[in-house]
Amino acid sequence: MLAVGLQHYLILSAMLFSLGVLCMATKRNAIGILIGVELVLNSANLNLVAFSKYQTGTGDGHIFAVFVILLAAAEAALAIAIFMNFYNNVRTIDVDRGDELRG
Amino acid sequence: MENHTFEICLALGVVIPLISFTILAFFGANAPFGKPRAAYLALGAIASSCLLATYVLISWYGLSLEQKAQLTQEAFRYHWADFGSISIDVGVKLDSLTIIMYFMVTFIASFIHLFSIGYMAGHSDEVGGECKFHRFFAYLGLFCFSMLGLVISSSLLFLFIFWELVGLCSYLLIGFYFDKKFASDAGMKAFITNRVGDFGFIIGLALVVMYTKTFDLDAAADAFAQQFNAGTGIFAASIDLFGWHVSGLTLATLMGVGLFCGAMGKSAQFPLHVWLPDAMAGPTPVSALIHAATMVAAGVYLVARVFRLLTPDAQFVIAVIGCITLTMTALIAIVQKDIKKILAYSTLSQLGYMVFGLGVGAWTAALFHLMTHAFFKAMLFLGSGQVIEGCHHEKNIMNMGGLRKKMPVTCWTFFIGVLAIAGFGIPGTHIGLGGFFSKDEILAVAYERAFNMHAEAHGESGDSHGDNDNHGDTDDHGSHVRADVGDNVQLASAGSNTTALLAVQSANAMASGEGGGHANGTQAKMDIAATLPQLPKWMFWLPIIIAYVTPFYMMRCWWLTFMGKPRDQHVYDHAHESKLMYIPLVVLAVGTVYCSYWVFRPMISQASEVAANAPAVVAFDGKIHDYSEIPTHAMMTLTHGEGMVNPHTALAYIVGISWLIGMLFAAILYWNGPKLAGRIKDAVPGLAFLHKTLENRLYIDHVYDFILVEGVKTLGRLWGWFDTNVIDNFVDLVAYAAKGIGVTTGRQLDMGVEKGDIGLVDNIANAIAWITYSTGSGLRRPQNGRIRTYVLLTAGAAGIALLFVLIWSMSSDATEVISAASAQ
Amino acid sequence: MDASSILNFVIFGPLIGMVLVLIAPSQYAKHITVGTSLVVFFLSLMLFPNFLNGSAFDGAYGENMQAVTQIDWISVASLKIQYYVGLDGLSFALIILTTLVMSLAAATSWNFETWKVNKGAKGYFALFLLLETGVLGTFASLDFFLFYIFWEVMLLPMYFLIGVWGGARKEYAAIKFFIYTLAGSVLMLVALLAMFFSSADATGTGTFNLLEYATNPAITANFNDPAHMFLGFNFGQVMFIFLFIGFMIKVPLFPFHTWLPLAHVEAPTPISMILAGVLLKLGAYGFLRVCYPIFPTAAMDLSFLIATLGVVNIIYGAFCCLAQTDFKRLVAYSSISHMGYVVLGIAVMTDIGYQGAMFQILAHGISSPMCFFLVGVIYDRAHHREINRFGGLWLQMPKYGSLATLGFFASLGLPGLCGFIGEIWVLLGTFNAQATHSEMTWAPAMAVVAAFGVVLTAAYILWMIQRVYLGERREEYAGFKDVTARETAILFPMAVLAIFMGILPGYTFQLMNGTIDAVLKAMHVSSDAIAMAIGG
Repeated sequence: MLAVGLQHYLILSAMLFSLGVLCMATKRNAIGILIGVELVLNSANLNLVAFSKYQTGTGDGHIFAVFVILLAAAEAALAIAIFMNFYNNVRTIDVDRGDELRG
Repeated sequence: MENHTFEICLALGVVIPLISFTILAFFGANAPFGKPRAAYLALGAIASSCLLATYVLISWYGLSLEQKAQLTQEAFRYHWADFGSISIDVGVKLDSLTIIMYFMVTFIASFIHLFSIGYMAGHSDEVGGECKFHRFFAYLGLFCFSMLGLVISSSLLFLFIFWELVGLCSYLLIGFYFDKKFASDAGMKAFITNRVGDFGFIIGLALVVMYTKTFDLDAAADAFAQQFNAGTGIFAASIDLFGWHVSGLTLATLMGVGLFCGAMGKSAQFPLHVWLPDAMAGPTPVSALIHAATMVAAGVYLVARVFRLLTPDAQFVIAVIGCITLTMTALIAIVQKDIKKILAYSTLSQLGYMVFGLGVGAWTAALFHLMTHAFFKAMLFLGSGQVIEGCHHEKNIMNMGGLRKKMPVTCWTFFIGVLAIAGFGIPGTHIGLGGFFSKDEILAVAYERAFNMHAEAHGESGDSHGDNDNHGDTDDHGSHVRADVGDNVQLASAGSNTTALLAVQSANAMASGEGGGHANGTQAKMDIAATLPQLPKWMFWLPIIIAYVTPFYMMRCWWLTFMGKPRDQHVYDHAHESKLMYIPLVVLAVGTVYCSYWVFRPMISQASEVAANAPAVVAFDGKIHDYSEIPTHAMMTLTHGEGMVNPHTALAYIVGISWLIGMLFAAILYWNGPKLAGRIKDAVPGLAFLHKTLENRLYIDHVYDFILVEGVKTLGRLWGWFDTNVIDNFVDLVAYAAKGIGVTTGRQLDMGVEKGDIGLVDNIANAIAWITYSTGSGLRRPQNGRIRTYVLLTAGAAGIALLFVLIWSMSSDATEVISAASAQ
Repeated sequence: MDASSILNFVIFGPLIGMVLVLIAPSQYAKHITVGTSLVVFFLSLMLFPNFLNGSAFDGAYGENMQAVTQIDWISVASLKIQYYVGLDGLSFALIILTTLVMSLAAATSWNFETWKVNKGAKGYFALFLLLETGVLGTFASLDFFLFYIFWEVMLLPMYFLIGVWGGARKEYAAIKFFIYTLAGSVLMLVALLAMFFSSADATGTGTFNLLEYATNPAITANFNDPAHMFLGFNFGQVMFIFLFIGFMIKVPLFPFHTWLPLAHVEAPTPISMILAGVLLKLGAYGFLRVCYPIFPTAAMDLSFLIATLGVVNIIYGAFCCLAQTDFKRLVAYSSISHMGYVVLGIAVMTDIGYQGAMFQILAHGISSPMCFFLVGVIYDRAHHREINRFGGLWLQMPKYGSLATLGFFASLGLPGLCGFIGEIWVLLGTFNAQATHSEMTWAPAMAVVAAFGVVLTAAYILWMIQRVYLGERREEYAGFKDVTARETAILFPMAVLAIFMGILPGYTFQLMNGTIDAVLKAMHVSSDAIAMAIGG
């Protein structure tokens, strides 16, 4: 059986990241975008933990990962609050309708 | 002995009117200062100043010359500010001239305050319905403060400061009825015309400070004399004015002429005389006080004060200007119909006499004339105020006539004034009014300068002057004087005339003008007489002719106003005399008759002696007379060497009977009103044209209006137009060119290029902004507000970055790091 | 409290006020601002006992600084930037002037609610106080880097104050102001860097110390060396010109003056007061503190050009005044004309010229805010500023008329009021310049032309007074009330100072004379050293 090394984690992480970005780029639904963001963040977490295990051997990466999870939770809460407001204003969560920031 | 009583009294007298002004300015409008009280406060203030002045005058009169000289020298100086390394001091110039001027100002001002109470009671309501009574008296207080400050200033800078302040008061009081356009116009004209004069004053002041390193009048004059003797300072200097190389004596002349420019403005000398007739828009008491008696005399006073700084050439310029003014304005006065305008032109003419007098060197006589003129002209103006007030603001003498029955006091005091200005007196005796003596004295000096002096000087001092051949030579005399300067050998020699001029001045300053200094001064003063340029003959004859014209136009004015039959019954019926205004008229009349000669003349000649102010003056009689000799009729009894015929005897008769002839002629011509004169005017060819020209003031005002006023305004407009259009358009081109570079698309910058004033950098700056803006608007297309676009952009950018890193890391150590990591 | 802590409090006190403004509810913003600016004003007055007799500043230039705070701020490698503030005769009076004008301007902003644009009181007052810190810091800083930072700090609030709370064309005016000043700043930045590296060449360790630039013999020799080249030109001259342009935009000098009338016309009254009363002075102060002491040789070489610019300003400004029909624009152009005297006085580089220029700076700092305030008073009532539509205001508002006459006569240069002293000192000083610098043969002619400005000034001021204040009372203005108690309270200090400075200029001169002598001496020493070096 093939030993699982750093490379495998990195490849998984890259795949997750790509899927996340793709999700963000294609979804018009705000919740979908939020899921994409979560994917990207978690791919980063995976990287952090993997590097921490194979590269440095210290617990730093784990701690960072915990922080990121925390942040992701906060961010999700905020984002959903924004979407609620957004929905209240335009009766949809289609992000393409929110182009008032256009320069 | 340190005694500052006099200075303290004088300074106090200056400050009291200021206090009155301050109180009235702040609280004048409030209830406790109702109409009369404001006036009483102002009157009280100036009256106390007058009392102080009287005290000083009397005490001063009792002092000996030594004591006076000592007091002058010990006068207190207070350090005011530093001008570079030069200290500017405030102080009182304590001498006879100051005291006599001070007394004259306070005395006349007191009675004009008194007169104003009655006069303004009827007039103050003219201003916008609100009582501006207190404002009038506040301004008068400010004026008295400034005028007295001007008189006592020991420093040229302070003289200038007060000089401007009296100008301000004049502006405010001329424009007192400022709701009337003509009044505010006149005020503005006065102020700006004076500013033109001040322009010269500043340049003169700059030259004085530059070379004498002091502002003090005495110190500057001493330094000037010293520099002349040594051929240093201003006499060795040269400056460059727009390529005009001015040096030595010319520079010194320029200095004198510059200072005189100030006097030209304030004393309304040609060509800056235009403001004074317009100034009659102010209330009549103001015309009497400011525009007849005191402020307009300030110019003469200034020239008298800086007399020791004037070179012979500068004096000549002054004489020419004075001569032109006195002639021209007297002629204009003949045809005027407005009673105040006639008086204004006669004031101009008399000021011309004073300036002319100073120019020819008749220092004492000119100031004497100033004093006598102040009294009778103030009285004449007050009289005219009575007439105007009594006739309900009728100013045209053509509509008057026969008023003697309705206003006898005014009529006869006015007549005394007419006599005084005409020069009433009996030649050969001591009977006569002030104007008789003062005018005669000026003309006598002019006569000396035009005919006698040079020949005499040659004759008497020929021994020591054998080497100087140009003395009588009018043409190149100026150059002769200049040639002397800078030549140290000649300067050192006692025989140099020009040196003597100033050597004597400094000698006199040191000797303080009494005792032994005189004996050897005599010869030197003869030298001075010889150095002054000879006057052209016309400069003697014109004043003589005008001496005949003056009585004529004054008599015309009086006769048409008071004598004959009433020409306008309506005006005549309303005419009345205000009792309250009697006192000032009578007092000034008495002053005119009595004070002028017996009090002022000795005081002024004392000033000339003690202050060593005018050595040239006393030179003309050929011997130095102690001031005690002066009361014997000054110029007429002078002798010029033993056994010589006194030329003044003949002159005295020529001038002395002018008043009689002029007045008689006017009386005959206007016996039955102006009709006869009108018929003559129509009958004699050319006279009508002359009349019209004179009536239009020789068109000088028109020319000024056209060239200067409109010219400056047009220039301003042109300049403004240039700023907005020419520079703007030129710069627009540059800006468009800049815009053309690089940017082809995008919206026009919404600011637009406005039609304000835009400079070069402005448009370039705008162009830069525009470029930035256009670039930005190109870049803003991806910024469509869609999150997906942003994500794609970010991801794309990250991808590109990754690609770069990969390519780059192929050939770098980074590969090792990655491979090392994977190997682990 | 010792003097240096007072100075620091004065500089940063407004920042504390700004924080308070941001925290407190917006209806209290103006109270806090007025309070803060008054506290700062009184704090700055507390400096007076230390320097009252003026002799505290009498020492040699660079050693006579008072109330000094000098601490290292940014030390990275060879870069040594200090927080270095202090006062001497050049800056002390200007600090007092700034705090005073700021207090008065804050009081002028009291009727903020009635303005056309009256939103965002918090923002307005916060920016106002930030501006005050910027100005005070610029005047006090002796480190060029710090000077530059404060200079820039001042720029931004001003931009917003004009651009947000201004008149009809406020955006245009604000951007114009911003771009002009920024263009100047860029040149200053270039000079800043070049001077730093040159000073490093000269002494081994570079410095930003403005005083050392002027007094350290090694640095002055390097800066003024005619053989020292920068981009193919003489280093001293190039730097001088860069700095000069940077400052002249602020003064403003012809031909970079065009932003000023526009900014004034669009800015609200208090901002105009600050702009004319304080900000223009920064340019002149920059000449006195930076340009001249550090590059005396270049200054001497270019003196004819600079004096010409000064004279052109005087005459050009005065002529433009004659053409104006907007009241505020007229006062703005008169500022241009008056600042010409300052530049002329500085250009001749004599003690009298410097004295006159410094005095004119202060006098104009009193009289021009007063004039702008007077315009503001009438604008608040009439809502227009068209001179030809006014008339008879003196009758309608007697107190206002009297105060206005006083203010405009002070600006006209009437003796007994502040404007006169500066003008006459500059004119006489220019005329006398030849006595100090024999090569200035053009000086008398320059003074003669400048003296002609006196006539023009009288003409445009009196003409304006006639059109606005004199004449018959008009129906359309019948409802106008005379000046209120608040307005009187603002005008009164300026009127008193205008009179005080005019009557007793000695006290003002005392504050700066020692420093002026010291600066001139330092300039003399360094230019002599150069002359010696060339000769040897």
